[in-house]
Amino acid sequence: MSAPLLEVEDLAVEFLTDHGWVRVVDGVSFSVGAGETLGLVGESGSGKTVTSLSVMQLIPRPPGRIAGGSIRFEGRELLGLSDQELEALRGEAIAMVFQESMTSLNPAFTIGDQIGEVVRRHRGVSRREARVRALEVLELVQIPDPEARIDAYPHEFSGGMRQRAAIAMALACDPKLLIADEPTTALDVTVQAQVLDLLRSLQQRLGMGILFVTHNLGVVADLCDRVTVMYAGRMVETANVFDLFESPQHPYTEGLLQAMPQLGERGKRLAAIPGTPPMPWQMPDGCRFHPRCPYAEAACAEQDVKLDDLGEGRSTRCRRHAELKLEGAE
Amino acid sequence: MPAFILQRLLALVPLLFIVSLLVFSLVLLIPGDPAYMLAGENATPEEIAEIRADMGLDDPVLLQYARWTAGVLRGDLGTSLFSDQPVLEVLLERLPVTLSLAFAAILVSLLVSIPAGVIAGTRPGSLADRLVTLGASTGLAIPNFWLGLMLILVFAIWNGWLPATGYVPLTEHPGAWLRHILLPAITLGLSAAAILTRQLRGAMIDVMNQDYIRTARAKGLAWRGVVLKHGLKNAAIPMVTILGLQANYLLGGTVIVEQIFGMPGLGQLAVASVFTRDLPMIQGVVIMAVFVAVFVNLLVDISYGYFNPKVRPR
Repeated sequence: MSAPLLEVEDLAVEFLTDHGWVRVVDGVSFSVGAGETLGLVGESGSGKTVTSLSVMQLIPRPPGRIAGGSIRFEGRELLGLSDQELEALRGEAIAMVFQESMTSLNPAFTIGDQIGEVVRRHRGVSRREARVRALEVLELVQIPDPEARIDAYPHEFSGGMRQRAAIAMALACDPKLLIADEPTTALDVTVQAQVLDLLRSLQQRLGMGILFVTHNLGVVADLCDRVTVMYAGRMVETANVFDLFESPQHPYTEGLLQAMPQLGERGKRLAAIPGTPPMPWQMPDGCRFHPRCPYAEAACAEQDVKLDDLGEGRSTRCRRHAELKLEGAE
Repeated sequence: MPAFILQRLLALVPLLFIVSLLVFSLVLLIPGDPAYMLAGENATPEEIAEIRADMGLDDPVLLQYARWTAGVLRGDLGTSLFSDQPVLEVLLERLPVTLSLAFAAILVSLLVSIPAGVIAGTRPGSLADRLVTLGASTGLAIPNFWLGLMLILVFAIWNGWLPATGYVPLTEHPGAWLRHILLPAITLGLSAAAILTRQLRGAMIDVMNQDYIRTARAKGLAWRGVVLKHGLKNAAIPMVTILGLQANYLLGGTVIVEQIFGMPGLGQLAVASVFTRDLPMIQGVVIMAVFVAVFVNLLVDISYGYFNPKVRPR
């Protein structure tokens, strides 16, 4: 495996709510190697987006704060860096693509201006040079007729085109790490497939690491090398994508896999995980998944479950994983 | 853009028609008869009738309206009943005073509201925000005639730093113009500043929570650049609307402020004309005010296109 580009260790993030400081991300560790794609998977509210924003230290402060852990990029600790040092990294070495391209692009400026801006910020080039670079990346993300489209405003683009433009903006300074937070969720399925294809081919050409945040296991199977599954602010399982799909080691992962619609199974009811995820201020004792877990025993509710290292980059947070035979997906 | 402006101007035709009807009907609606006023206290009924006939007040209303409109379209707003000067000449003499007062007041309001609104709106709940909000509420609560008198008292009478009354045209002596316009502009601009500050604060809070602000930060832009470029341009959209409305209020406010500071502008003329029942002059002032208001709204509409590309005409 390649040397880790990004290493997150024991990350804890808290938000100030009516219930006091609430820990929404707790003890999350993962790494992304150069040229590797790590999927960060979980339901809404599992803490995956907060985790991804924490890497860039873009969680809103207040009410959020990073309460502990370590985030290292190329071996350099990012927590505790000054604003200036962080700003020098953002958009340059680490870039981000967000979910809603309609709202994440500024409606008041042209696409070209918004792409050029990041180039001028980090490369210190003139407006004209920045525009040349903007044209290059628009071409890279396969926007047809970039010369004509560069002066368009976001509302003049379709959803898929806007997301391509957002990706172009992220790639403008050749980042080593791309953090993509549900970049295809808001798109039509066909457009979604195009954007995923684009990301895959761009990664092959540019060799960047990708941290891909999604709730969609289908997308994970399509794009990712390894997967970290999060539940209720904690990581419950990490594995490479084939192992995870073939033999999940955590009942939650199994539930997610069962809940995936499969072709050729018409008429069959989709399996759903019963219940809802807990609120961050009323986390259950013991294993956080036990109230919804079909395999839960009395002991699951009592003692806190540690992350169990299974070797070969696999780990799980289930005390019964050895005895359970969990079902994968084809 | 020229097509857009032309379209806006064409849309003014029906508006101006309605305005002309209203302005003309002032003659019919205002209590009292200008002929009585002109003739003086001891006039005989015959003298009054003669004046009425001279002024065409005995003709059918439609004929009077047609005659008046035809005159207005040719730029002839009639002559003052008292000074015998052409109304248009008097208006054009007074207009620069009022315009420079209103313009300076808008400038004051922007110079106050933009920094105050940005500071408060980017740090809601902070001490600075509370102070700004308190200041804006105070600014709204202070009546401008009282503020004007206080400013005169402090800066003109007690300290003698600035003149209490009068006006010097900008073209004559810019320094003296500034010294004369400063206190009236602050007086007139303060409530607009308060309203604009509150508006910008609210818009800024909203905008700074938008996803594109996070995107801008993810690009590595410094906080200042994020606020001043990505935040302010979007927050300016609702502010421009309010500014347009305020500009119209400011024109109304000049009536009082010009009285207080003894400035020979349209507002003072309006008051004087009402007291003397100088109808052609009143009509002229109203028409001039309508033109200014319409022009201001046109400017607002055009500036929308700059701030908000979605409404830009194609």
